[in-house]
Amino acid sequence: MKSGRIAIPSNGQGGLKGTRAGHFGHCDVFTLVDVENGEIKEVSILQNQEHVQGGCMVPVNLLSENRVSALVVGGIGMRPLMGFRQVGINVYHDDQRIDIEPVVNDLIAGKLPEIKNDQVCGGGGGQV
Amino acid sequence: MNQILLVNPEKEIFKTLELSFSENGFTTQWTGTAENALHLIAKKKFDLVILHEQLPDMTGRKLVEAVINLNAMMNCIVISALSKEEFHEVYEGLGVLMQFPLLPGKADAQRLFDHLARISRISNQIQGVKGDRIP
Repeated sequence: MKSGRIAIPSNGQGGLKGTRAGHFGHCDVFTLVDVENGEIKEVSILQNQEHVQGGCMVPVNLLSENRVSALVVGGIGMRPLMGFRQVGINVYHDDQRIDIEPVVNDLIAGKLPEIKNDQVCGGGGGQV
Repeated sequence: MNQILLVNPEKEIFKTLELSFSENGFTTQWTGTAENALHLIAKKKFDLVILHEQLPDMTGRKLVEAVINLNAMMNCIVISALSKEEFHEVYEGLGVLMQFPLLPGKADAQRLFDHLARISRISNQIQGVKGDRIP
């Protein structure tokens, strides 16, 4: 990834040294990482909003309004995935590492895969 | 939100709902099959689709998936006899707004209005919300 804004669902205060939240809809904050020419230029913290049933489009609109171009999740439901794609946010997948920084570095280096349709949660255990 | 698509072969089950919707400024359109519903959704933007879990030509889950693929912003409600746990298991991840009973009534319409108002409040709160830069 050469340029853009990455969003990472995060626990607590977030930040590059923080940890990732497993459930993006219920995360405390989003860590936003601005990338220019393959380098991290700025890190900011965006408060998540209240999560209600069927309110999957709230975080989609929140991140879209904040010009996010890439999101990294450990899991995601089909509706929010389609919502992010439809507003032009690419969704990447890593369900192994809890730390934010190595995942961000891998995304910038082009080493993180985009989530596939058959990796969505639902129909028997997963996250929204 | 004011355009609602109702999908079920028996139009009569929506009679009470349609009255409540009409009294609250919502416009409804009815169709009996999933195929027709998808045809209508492709031509016109609906804010909400209320569908039965078992349609003549498609399951409710398949129709919800198809709606999401066309426009994920469109909310869906499923009319279903499943228990709360079974419903969660079948529809998890699809962001279904809520479950309606087989014969939805005025109280269900009110529950929907309250829920939509809550989502609307949250959506309004995100207007202009920006990230705080970490020094």
